[in-house]
Amino acid sequence: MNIRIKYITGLAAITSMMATGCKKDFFNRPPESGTTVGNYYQTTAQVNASTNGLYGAPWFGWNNKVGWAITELASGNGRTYSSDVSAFQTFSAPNTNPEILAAWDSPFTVVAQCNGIINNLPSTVPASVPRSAVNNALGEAHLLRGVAYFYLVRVFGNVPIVENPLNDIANFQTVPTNPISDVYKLIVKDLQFAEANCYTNTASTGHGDSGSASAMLAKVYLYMQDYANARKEAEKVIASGEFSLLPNFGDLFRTINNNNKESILAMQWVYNAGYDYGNSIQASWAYSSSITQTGDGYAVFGPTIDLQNAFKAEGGDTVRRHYTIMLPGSYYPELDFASGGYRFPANAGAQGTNAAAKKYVIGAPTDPDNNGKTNAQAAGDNTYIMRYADVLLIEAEAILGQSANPGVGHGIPLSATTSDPTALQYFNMVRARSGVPAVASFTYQQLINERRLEFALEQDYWFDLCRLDGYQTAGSATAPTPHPVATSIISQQERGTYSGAANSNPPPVIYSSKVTPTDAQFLFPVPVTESAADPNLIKAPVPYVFK
Amino acid sequence: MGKFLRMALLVLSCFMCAGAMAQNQGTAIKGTVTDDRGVTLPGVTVKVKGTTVGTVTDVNGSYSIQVPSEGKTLVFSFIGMQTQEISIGSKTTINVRLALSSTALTDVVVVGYGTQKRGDVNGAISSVSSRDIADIPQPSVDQMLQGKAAGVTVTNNSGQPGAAVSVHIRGVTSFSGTDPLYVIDGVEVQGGARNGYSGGPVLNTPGSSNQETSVSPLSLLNPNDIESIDILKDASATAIYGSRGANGVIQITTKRGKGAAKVVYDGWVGLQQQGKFIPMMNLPQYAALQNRLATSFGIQPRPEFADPSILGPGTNWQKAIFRTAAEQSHSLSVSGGDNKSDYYVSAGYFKQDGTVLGFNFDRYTIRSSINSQVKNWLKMGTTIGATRSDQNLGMGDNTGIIYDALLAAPDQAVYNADGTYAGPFVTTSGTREGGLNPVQQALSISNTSLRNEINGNIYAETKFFKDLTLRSELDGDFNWWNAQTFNPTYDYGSTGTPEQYHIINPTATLNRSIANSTYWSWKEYFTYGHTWGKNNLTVVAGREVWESTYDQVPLSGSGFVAGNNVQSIALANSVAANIGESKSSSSMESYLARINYTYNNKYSLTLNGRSDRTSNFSPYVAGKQTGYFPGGAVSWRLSEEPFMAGIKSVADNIKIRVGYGSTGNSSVPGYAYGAGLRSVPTAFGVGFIIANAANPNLTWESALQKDAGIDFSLLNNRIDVTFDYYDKTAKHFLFQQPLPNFLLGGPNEYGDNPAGIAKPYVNAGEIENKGFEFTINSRNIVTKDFKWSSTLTFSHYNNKVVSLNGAPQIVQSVGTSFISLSATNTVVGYPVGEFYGYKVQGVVKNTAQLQYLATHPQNVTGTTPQVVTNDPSVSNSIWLGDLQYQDTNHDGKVDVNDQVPLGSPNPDFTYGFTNTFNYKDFGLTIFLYGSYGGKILDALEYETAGLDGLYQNQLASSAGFWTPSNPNSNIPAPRGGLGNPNLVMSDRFLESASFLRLQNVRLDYNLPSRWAKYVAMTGLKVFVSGQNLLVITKYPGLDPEIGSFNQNPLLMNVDIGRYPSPRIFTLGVNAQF
Repeated sequence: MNIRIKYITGLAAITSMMATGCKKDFFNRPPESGTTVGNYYQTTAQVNASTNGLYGAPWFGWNNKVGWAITELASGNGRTYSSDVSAFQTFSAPNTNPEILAAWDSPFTVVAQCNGIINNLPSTVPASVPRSAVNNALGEAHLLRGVAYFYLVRVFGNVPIVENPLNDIANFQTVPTNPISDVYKLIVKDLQFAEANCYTNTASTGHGDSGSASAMLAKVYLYMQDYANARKEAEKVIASGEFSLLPNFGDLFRTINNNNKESILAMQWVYNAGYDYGNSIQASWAYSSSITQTGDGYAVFGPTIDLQNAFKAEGGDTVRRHYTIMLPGSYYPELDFASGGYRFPANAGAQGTNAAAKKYVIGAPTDPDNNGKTNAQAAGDNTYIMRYADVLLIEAEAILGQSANPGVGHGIPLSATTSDPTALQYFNMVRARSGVPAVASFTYQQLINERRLEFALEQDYWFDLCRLDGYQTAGSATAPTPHPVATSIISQQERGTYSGAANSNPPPVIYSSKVTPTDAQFLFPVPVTESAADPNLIKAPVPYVFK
Repeated sequence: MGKFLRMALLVLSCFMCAGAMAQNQGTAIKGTVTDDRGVTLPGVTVKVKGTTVGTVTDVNGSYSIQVPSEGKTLVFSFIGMQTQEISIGSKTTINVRLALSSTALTDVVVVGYGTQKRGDVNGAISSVSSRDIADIPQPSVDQMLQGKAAGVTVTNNSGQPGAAVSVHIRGVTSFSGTDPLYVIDGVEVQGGARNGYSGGPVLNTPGSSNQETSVSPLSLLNPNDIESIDILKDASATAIYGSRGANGVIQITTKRGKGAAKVVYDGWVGLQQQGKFIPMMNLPQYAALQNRLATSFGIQPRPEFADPSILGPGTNWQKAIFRTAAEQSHSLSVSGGDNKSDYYVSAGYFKQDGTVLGFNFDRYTIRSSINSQVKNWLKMGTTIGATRSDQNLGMGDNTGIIYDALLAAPDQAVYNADGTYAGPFVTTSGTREGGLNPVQQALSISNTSLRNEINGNIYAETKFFKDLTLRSELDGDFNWWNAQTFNPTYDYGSTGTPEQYHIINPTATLNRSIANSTYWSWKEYFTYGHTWGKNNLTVVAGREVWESTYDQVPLSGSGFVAGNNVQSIALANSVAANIGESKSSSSMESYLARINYTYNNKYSLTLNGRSDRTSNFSPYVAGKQTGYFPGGAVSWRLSEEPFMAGIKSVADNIKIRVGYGSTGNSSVPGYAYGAGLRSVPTAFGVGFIIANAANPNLTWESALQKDAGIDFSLLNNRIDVTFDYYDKTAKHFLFQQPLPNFLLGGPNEYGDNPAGIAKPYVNAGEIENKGFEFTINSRNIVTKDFKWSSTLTFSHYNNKVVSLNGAPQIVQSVGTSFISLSATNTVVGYPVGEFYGYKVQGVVKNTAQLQYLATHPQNVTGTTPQVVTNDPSVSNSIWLGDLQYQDTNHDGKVDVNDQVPLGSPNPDFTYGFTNTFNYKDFGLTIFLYGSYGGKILDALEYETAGLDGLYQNQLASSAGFWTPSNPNSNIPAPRGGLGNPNLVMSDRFLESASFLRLQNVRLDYNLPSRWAKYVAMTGLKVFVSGQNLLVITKYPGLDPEIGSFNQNPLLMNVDIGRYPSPRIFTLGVNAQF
């Protein structure tokens, strides 16, 4: 009996074991909290949503600090003592600076995610999904890849063009950079693809559309000094009627006005998904936490005396100044709304400037402008990549450029002037909206100044300064091209601090600080971790072979 | 339980009666048998030599035996003890104290799927007994292994209570999971930061990216429950674990009941304190520095600092955050057993407060083990342990409490006069001249981790006939984990500071992570053992299947209008839009076999092999899922040869062992072979982004290992020596390809990677470790009243990367404040995690050097060469007082090509030296642990000696920086800006990692059993001990033992504010009833 039982017991154990685990499914474990490339892109809804991820988190690294550190601190619009970004105002950020890495990583992350769609979607999507939806998704991916490269080429110059990373993974340590001209060529190709394939008249959803691509193309052509094409694209956008100026400049920076009629393309943030998904600019810039009411508001950004003077020189330019920077006594009823508004104190000032940032400082969750959509270090307001006022000023500049005809590689002389009625019409449209008087003609210097005042703190002025000396494709950090005009403007900027508060007695004096960049400092160094992994990134560029 | 107890006693008494009745003439001898510490031993066999007469000691260790007239000698034997023979003579009472035989050849060694006698083992296996680690005031057994076993390098990654430990057996041979496999009573628990199983995700503690967050899986085990630890080091031993054995296997066997029922209480209380403080600047020094920085930064110096010499010393922030902390441990067990059944039940409580504010660790454990011979053909048993630990992780490492305290300005008070937290000094223009108050941070922000674990097995052994047994075993390991950080609202500032310049957090935030993991395995294996003539054969063959799952849900919310007291997500004003989930599972099926054949106790052969099929590799590409891992070893007991008989008294037990084998590793995240899509919150609702780059060809990493060893005893077994040489080569090892970020995107600057595509895992490269290790046990003096024995363990290895499959280097950065420092480069020809950077030539002190630099440009920041000028408006300048780096390639300039390997974090050797002295009832143990060679990157000094920013305190030693009036200083002058050319990665902050630590000194007293019984005890021992009493080191930081940052083998010995190990004094008692 015992004998039988023990053999039965043993056999039962062995048999039941053999029955487990042998199935193939036991060893096939796809992701359980995600999906896979092969299982997605199966329906029209999935294809339309496939580009949702391209507008937020990948841009976080750029938007968080380095975007404004480069464009506003280096350009002389802002100053700071904050040691993480202060090197950008003195052009001394080394290749080890983590913000330099962020400036590299973030747009390349956008490129990588766009490439993911471009390379995976066509082979995975079934025929049942309408061609237009597939084309639109691919168009958006090309649009954002082009835009990301536009940031990269303006910050770093020669960069590697990656259209399919899998081709380079095996030999990543020898991938070269490609020349600036090839990067611009890719950007144009990508934007043209987007223009041809994206839906039209859908920019108000927040997704870039064909009109967004045309507007970006106008800007890229302008940088390339291809004024004819810049005009063509700008006029296309103007004629389409898809976009228009908001009547009130101040309305541009209200969270409830995300994706307004003036917004052409913007980074789209989520207020309640935590850090990495929200707009963190207000956290850094807001003068105090009584504005944000979410515990942040570190006031690490102070508008330079030079920028304050630029507004003063335009007769105060009160509307734009009011919504761009806070001066002592400035009153904002829309901020701290519950307490009856916020007044910038008479003795206040960020970073020794007796002023503070206002643009992108949007207030508390309880302020009506935000409708609850802000959070600590994560606000829900969009960051503009481009808005319609830019298109109007591009059109004006392209007309001036055509008449000045400096030749590619040479900047339009600052003294060049135009009274072309079309140029004046658009130039004055932008001015009129802000309540500054119309002009009968304008010089290039005035136009650049107009752009500075219109887009100050919107991550643009540095790039304007960089292109003042023309479309220069030969430059690299080690073999710089000359920037005499920009250098002379920058070296005269007052980047110093006040000795005390605006209402102090005796009145404050200026501790002057001026910086003269070298030509090489118009481009930023490749992050050390990248050049260590691929030493070719800091060698001469190699022409890109377009397919 | 009472039934067991009664049964045990009954059986035992019958046994004794029978023994007594058999003898009816001759002399009656009686006495008591104790162990070397005087604790009475029940169940000791007492035999009269040359006869069949024998008995066993009773519950109190007493015996009485009728010795026949021909009996001359009594033989006392007990497992784990040296057998002792005592001649009877005219004695009628013989009390015996048995000595331990920790290396005795009869010891049983747990080898995986079975046990072997130590003498039959052919592989390289070290054993540590419960006595070696008893009452060490550490929560986790892995910490206790430090210096106790040769070939095992144990480093505490942090001194914080409950923190993870790096255990490297014979060096580092992998980039993905370098920790050994832990097997607790047959249940496999993967060590390391990965949650409980190989390839599992690293536990993400919310709200901390630059902090040591990994916790030790073994901190959930009460060390008092451990009977023995066997460490399988070479492949011939670990191949039976196949895929999971690549980093070695640590077998932990918990206690079983034996002999008469006994109740044991172990308890101790301790005090911990910080043994060393770093000399930071006092207020006068700080003021002088701030004045100098104000000049070089072009800002107004503070009027209060005009004459630093009149200032007081200021706040010593280290004194403010370190405290003397209590620690206690209590453990109670009841156990017993007879030849049919045994039981062991224990409960334990451990509590350790941190020596740094805001850290503590509490643990509650229970464990039980029951085994019974149910039928003569069936044995069954179960072991179950349950643990709950409640930990406050505080804020550690970079930008943590210690870091903040070192940098905190001494002009800031801890508290205002009214008892509120003080803030930094604020200038009239509103500049805060200082940072957060570290004490406020430590006491306000909570960072807790609550873990529950149930771990156990149930088995049945069916004996089909005499030689063949089938063991069926079900194992399980279930974990629940709940981590939470809560940053409350606060508002504080120094007295008189206008409210608008206070440090205010009006919105509280809560981050929480809820995770659970399960692991089950099912084993069926046959054991066949047969002896014929001089031949002995043991065969083990079987199959095992396991599955593990993991699920983590992060939550976050903010705005707790009800206040800071109730820290629940239910009270949050705003909850995160998307509640994420990270979920995965993994499975494996294995076939295993082992053959042991011994001839004449002299020649022995072991062959073992295993095949593993894992779900971690692609099911779609043939041959990727299954790996085969064979191993084998032979040994020769030279001393058994007749020609050796003559020297037996000098050298005995000589055994020569040679082994070779292969093991594997599959620890990659699931579905690394395919491209996944991850959901992300977007303004348009959920979005899907590419999660990772696929590698369908991903397959097993394998490690080949050769081992040659010799064991021998000298001078009549007074000295036992074990020596092993090994050569371990890992091939096709698994790691995430170190691609530059331009291909697939990269993380945001604080390490999060919500949008980049994860780099593909690859099988590539080759790493080798060659080394040797030895253990010497010596009984130096053995007299009746005084004994002195010593144990020396010594481990040495050379780690070298042989190939990276074409990758030039693997750069690993570490965050120090806002700087990401490329700390290590793993390059071919050098060890894993080699420090890499520039070599400092010296401080520029004279114009001759400046002239040289004008023609030999220096460019260490990758921007433009430094301009030789004293003009402060030129940012990229070099002038007197700046650092000049070495032109290592002699090309007349200094640039990226002059970066060179600077040193290895790996020690040349580590050693442990234990000396035990016994005098009558007193015992004294002195344990020294040391590590020699290797470097530490004191990355903290990039902040504490950087002299690059305002309002941060600096090392007192930095006060003597270069100035025109201090022209001989080798400390560069202050220079603004993070990552300025004086602060690139260089050998400037590399320090010696050598240290010798007086790890433990312990004095104990055993109350003699004849007295103990008056207090109703069978044994009582009291002890005092001191842990970490003295450290001899050149390292200027708080503690020279750094370990790996979050188990990352590429970030070994990088100090970014590591929590130092405390000095501990304990007072304890072991009582046995």
